[in-house]
Amino acid sequence: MIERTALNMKKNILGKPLKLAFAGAVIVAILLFPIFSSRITLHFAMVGLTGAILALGLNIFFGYCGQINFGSAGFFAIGGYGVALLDKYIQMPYFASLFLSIVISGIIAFIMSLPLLRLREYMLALGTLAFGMAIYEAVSKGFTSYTGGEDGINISKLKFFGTPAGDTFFFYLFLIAILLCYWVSYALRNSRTGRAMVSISQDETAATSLGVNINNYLIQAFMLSGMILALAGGLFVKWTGWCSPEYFSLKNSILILLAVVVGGVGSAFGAIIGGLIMFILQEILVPLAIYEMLAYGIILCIFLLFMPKGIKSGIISIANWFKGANRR
Amino acid sequence: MNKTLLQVESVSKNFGGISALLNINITIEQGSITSLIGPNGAGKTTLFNIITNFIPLDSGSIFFREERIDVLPPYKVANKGIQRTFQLLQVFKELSVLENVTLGMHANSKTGLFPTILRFPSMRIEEAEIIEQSMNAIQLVGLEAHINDMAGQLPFGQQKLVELARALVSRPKLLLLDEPTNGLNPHETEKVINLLNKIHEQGINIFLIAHDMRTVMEISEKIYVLNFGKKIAEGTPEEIVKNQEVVRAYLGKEYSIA
Repeated sequence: MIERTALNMKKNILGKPLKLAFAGAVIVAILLFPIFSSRITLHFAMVGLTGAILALGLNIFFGYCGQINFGSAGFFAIGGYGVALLDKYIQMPYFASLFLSIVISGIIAFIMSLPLLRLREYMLALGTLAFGMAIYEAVSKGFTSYTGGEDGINISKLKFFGTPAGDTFFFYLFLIAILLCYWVSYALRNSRTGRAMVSISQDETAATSLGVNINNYLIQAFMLSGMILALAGGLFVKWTGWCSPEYFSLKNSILILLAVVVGGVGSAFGAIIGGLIMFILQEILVPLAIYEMLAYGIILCIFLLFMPKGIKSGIISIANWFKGANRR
Repeated sequence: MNKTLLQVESVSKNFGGISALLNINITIEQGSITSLIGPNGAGKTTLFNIITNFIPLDSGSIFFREERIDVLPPYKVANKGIQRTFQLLQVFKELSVLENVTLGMHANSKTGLFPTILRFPSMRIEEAEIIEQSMNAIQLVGLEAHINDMAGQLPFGQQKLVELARALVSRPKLLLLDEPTNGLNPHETEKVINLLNKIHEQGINIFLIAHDMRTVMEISEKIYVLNFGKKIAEGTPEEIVKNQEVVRAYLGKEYSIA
């Protein structure tokens, strides 16, 4: 469940020139991706990148602190609707509205954490589920005169000196956001604060005995998590140019949770991979229609049963199993 | 310089109708190793849990360095400089040995979320300090070959050492050890006793629960004896061995000759 951290990693993983060359090739491929890809593959990639940011956000609360959150789409929605409403009613510049939405999401996360973090496990799952559903109902049915109800809100295009920013611009913007969130996760995981959060996931009694103020750290993690989820929302709706409640349904909360599980709970890099896989898969699985949720259920079962530590250690253990089988 | 470090004043605790602790008075002096002994169910661990405020007391009060601590939440008690180990091991099984021990430095450090994310220079200095202290503690208990191993994968005796290193790395003013030699083989027990003496020489006060009488007699300067929630004796090891009530309740005939 624990990723390789700087502390654990006295062994050098990137020493060999071959690996360096491979990493360089991957980076160049990612950077050149929007130039060579078709519109539709770029669309898939962008949805995947959004998923990566979302999974990074949830990973701080679910992965590091070990607390369940079934309402991540609620914070995703706060980011999305924050940007959309600020754009529609006061024409606020995009990046200012993005920043403000993130701050608002942090404040809402703080307020919600006061009742929610008295709960644990199943009860916390139900509490956060209710929060996510409440936000969804509020934006889709509640304040329809402001939010446009099921129709959503049309958002103005982002413009630089009169020229609208296209998919390519947003691709790089999403990449920067991912790097930023990954950096935050990594720095956190290798710090006193992050270790305290992880200690809570393992043993609350022992953590308390060492002087860890559990409630305080859970609130901080919940807020940071909510702010990253809102960042994803603000980026996503501006890219699509449309803020629709369907983006923020329960299905997406589950997808984000699945992304973290697929990537390996507690691993920031895994969260990126898991987010990419699950959200691109979601786009591909659209033709399944009503059987889509069934597919997610099956994926979740497979991972919990056979790869509880995520796809990377799953692949490694499968490889080891084959090696062992060959030797015999 | 016999100053009082910890003072437990007429503490009582009932679980339902059962009186787990009754009117307990205990004083721990600065610079001492004190032991708490007694038969199973005497209330020893309960007393530890009450000192660290994991369990609230029913009546009485506890003073640590002349400050009342029974009103503080448990994490604040730890931050005052009281660290503890547990009777049933509570290491963080899926963290490395080094990370386990660095967590012990939590009470001694203070960098919060914002300086961490923005990587203030103060944060890096503190982090380096945390790691250096942790390495020292790991060396002290002799686990330097295992710093990157998952704590849960180590054998029981070494996990006990991880827990001990985690408790002592922050140089607490008072170290509460709940059966530090429980379940260890004679060789490991010897090692832990030496370790406790070494820690004590470094100026850390120790209050321990033990069942292994050899350990207790060897290192304690003062012993408290509990039985059915009552304090039945206190004194130096020599006095305790001669105390008829203690012999009857706990030690058995073997010690009555000595």
